[in-house]
Amino acid sequence: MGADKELHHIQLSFRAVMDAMARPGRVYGLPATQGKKASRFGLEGPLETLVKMFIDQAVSFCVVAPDPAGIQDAIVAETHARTAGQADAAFVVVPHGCDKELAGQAIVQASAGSFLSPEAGATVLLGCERLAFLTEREGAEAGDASLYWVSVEGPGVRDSHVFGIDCFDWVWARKRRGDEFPCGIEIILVDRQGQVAAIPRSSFLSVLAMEGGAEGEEASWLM
Amino acid sequence: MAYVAVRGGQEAIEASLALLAWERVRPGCSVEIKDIMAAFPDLIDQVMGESSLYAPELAALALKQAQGSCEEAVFLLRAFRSTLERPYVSCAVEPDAMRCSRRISAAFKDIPGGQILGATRDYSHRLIDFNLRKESTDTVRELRREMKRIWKEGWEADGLCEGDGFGGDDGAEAAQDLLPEASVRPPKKGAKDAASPPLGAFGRLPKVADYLRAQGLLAEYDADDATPADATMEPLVFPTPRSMRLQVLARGMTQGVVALGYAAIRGFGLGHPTVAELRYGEVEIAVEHPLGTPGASGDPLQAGRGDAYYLGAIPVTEVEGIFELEVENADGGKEFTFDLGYGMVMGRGETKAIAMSVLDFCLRSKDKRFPTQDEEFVLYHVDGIEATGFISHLKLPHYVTFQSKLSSVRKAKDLAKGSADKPADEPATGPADKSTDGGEGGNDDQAV
Amino acid sequence: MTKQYNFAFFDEASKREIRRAIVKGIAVPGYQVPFASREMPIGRGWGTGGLQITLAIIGRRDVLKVIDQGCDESVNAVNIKKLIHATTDVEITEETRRASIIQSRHRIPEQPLGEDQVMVLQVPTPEPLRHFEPREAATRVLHAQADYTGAWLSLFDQIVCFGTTTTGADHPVKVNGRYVMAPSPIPRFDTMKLHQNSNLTLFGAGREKKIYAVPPYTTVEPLDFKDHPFAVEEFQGRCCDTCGATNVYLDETVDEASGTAVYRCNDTAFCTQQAASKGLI
Repeated sequence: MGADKELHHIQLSFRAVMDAMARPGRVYGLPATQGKKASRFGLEGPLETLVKMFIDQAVSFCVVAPDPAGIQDAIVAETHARTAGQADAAFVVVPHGCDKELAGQAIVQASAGSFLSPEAGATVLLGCERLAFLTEREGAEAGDASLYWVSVEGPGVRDSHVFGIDCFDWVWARKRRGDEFPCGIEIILVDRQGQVAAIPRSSFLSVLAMEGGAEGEEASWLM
Repeated sequence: MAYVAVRGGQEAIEASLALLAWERVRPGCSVEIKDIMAAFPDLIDQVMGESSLYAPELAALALKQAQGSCEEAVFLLRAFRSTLERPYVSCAVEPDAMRCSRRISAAFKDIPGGQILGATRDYSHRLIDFNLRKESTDTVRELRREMKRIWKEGWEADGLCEGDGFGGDDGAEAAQDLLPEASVRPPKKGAKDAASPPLGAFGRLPKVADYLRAQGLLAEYDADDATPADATMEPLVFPTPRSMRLQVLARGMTQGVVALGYAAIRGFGLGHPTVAELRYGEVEIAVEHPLGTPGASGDPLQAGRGDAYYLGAIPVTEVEGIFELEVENADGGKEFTFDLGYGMVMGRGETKAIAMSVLDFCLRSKDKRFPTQDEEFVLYHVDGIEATGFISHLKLPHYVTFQSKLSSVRKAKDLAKGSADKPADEPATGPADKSTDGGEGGNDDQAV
Repeated sequence: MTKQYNFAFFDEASKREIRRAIVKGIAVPGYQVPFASREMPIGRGWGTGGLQITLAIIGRRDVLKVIDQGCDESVNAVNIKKLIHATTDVEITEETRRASIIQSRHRIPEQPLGEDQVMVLQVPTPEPLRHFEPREAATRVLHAQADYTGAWLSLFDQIVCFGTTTTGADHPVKVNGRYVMAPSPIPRFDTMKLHQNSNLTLFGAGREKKIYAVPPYTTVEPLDFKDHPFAVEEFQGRCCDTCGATNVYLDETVDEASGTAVYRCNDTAFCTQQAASKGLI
């Protein structure tokens, strides 16, 4: 992409992320990237878009992977951002297909900010396989165990927003943090197709029971 | 209701801009950028310093566009600056490597390396030179030739002359050549203290403060070459790191910094410093390769320092002021020592640099008796763009907020009137008086 | 201009800085996020905070409306629109309903906003506690500890002195039950338009270097007392002289001939639309 084209792509993507943050749990689509181009960072395209949207020399970041050096170096070379430990980084990048345990750990450890500076709480950019908004739920085949349904309440949500996602370990990890508002983290979920949903620290989550779906854990958990 | 912005704002603005453009061209003559650079180097220094952007040509252009308003020129240059990325931070500048064309100390008569009075107005008489009325480019060139000739003869007589340090002797030389020339201007013959070193000795001059430091008279600090905080890249959060304070002061309104520095030494601050050293000259700016330079091993991460790119040199004024400081000694008793206040500004801004060194010292104090020791008071208010912007925004319409205020005041007045009309058993004078005396009192957060 | 500026004036690093602050602002409703406010080609105090937000979020497909004190054609609104248009070429509208981004100084339009609209408010003084505590470091601590005694006391003080709160515009509100926030100097008449509203509202204070937000469907309560409830500006029985609208914020002007007060809609776009629909113009 030319610099100018990329600028507009990032702008449209940001609006999707901003809307997603303003309406937690609603799924928005990033604009499609034309002309498939190999990622410079070794990340899925949509996640790379989020990295370019937020990360530069003014902030710190880390990549969560067994051996993050390659991706991190590529990001540093292009953005001049500095790397930091998982507990300090302003942005925590969890690539698609990341080991669930590693990802969970990163979410638990991420910086919560402080009462004086809650904005120092980390933003986790979390790659996932699939995201779907409520409207897809009705259409979901009974017994489709591939999606869990998460209900979101809080500022930005009139009643509740429900979205589907292929995994929910991150919900547990978020709950384990035990943040006291206004401290906390923001999680921006992005799937391989470029769908995004955001969970700010002000949101309350519950994983809904799934008919014939997710094995065993039928109850509705309030996070 | 000509200005009332309800309708026709577009036309009013266009007409106003046309009028502004007219005022610029009405006199019917123009001045070239190079002439502005040649004639007003100090003004350009001030604009660049307050803009935090070393760009003499752009500063001159901004001044031209701003019709000579320094405030407006800084505004233009700052707004331009904020569209530029700042990809690199330079290597730390070591001012003891400054190529000094002026260097004085108020603390010691004799300093290692000598005092260099250089060009200064300090000992000039502020009498208007009416001869300048008749000056022309030709007479200026004639004068320049004559001065060069006299100096050259003097140095030749002293055996000092190796290359004249003036560049070409061509009278048709472009006027902007004067600028770089000014910064390597040699000391005047017979200058104060007669300590003027020969041209070849211009180089590393020891700092006066180092002499005091060696004697154990100065508070000791570790060198801190950490990347400085940048107030244009991150928000001011209090308490601020010293690097950010220095930056905000250095780009502060010249007269604002001077006024507060004056207040601090006059009585609303921490006393009267002694200028250990004031030096003016050029410092070299270099950046390291962002990924390091591949060393012999070819491994970019192994590359060490010293492989930096030289970008050029900029003129700066540096001041180190000595302040007395009461400290606790090892026995728990009190003793006096010295500490430094530091000032550095772009170009020739000596008063500002000294005032900055005073404020730097004041702001490091934990004691906040005086506003000059309160970093929020000083740092928020010395910024020219913010001060002038907010002051001038008072010219904007405030119809809505004023209407809201009117409604509140009328309501309070009606209430007061109502209670005043009540029988005497309810003393109504208090609230009634207050509301008439100060209808707007009691609430300062009026809309702005 | 020979020098071509980037799309939306800023370099991309500046946009990233503002975008990061916006995201954090939305995540912590009512909290003032410090950001590295850029110097703008218009004066500090003239809407640089709102302008920075608008420039950081705007794209080619946006439709922009800018109002100043309720008016699209006010000199400052025109000036801001001109700058944004010159660097983005976006479509400009006066129709509230058509705009995707509405930047405003001191008013929220009468026409209710929809979910797909972003309201950007210019803020001169973002700190609701500033009038009794001049120090930023101290007010940050008060916010951290949710210590709003001072804010309540100053309202109480007004009631004791004047029998009523005397706040004009910018009446302090509590957002999401946590932060006390300055809603920017919108009249009290507009304050409740922030409460459980369907659109996102962003607040930008350029000189004070703060960005904050009220997300959609968020609780916004004005600070008040049970026996002295929050009250909006009164225009008892008055209506707009031009379109006849009632229950709108009115400007008071003086009729030069008779010397009496005349009232007109402050929101000029709304007034025009009302008048047109009634066949008055």
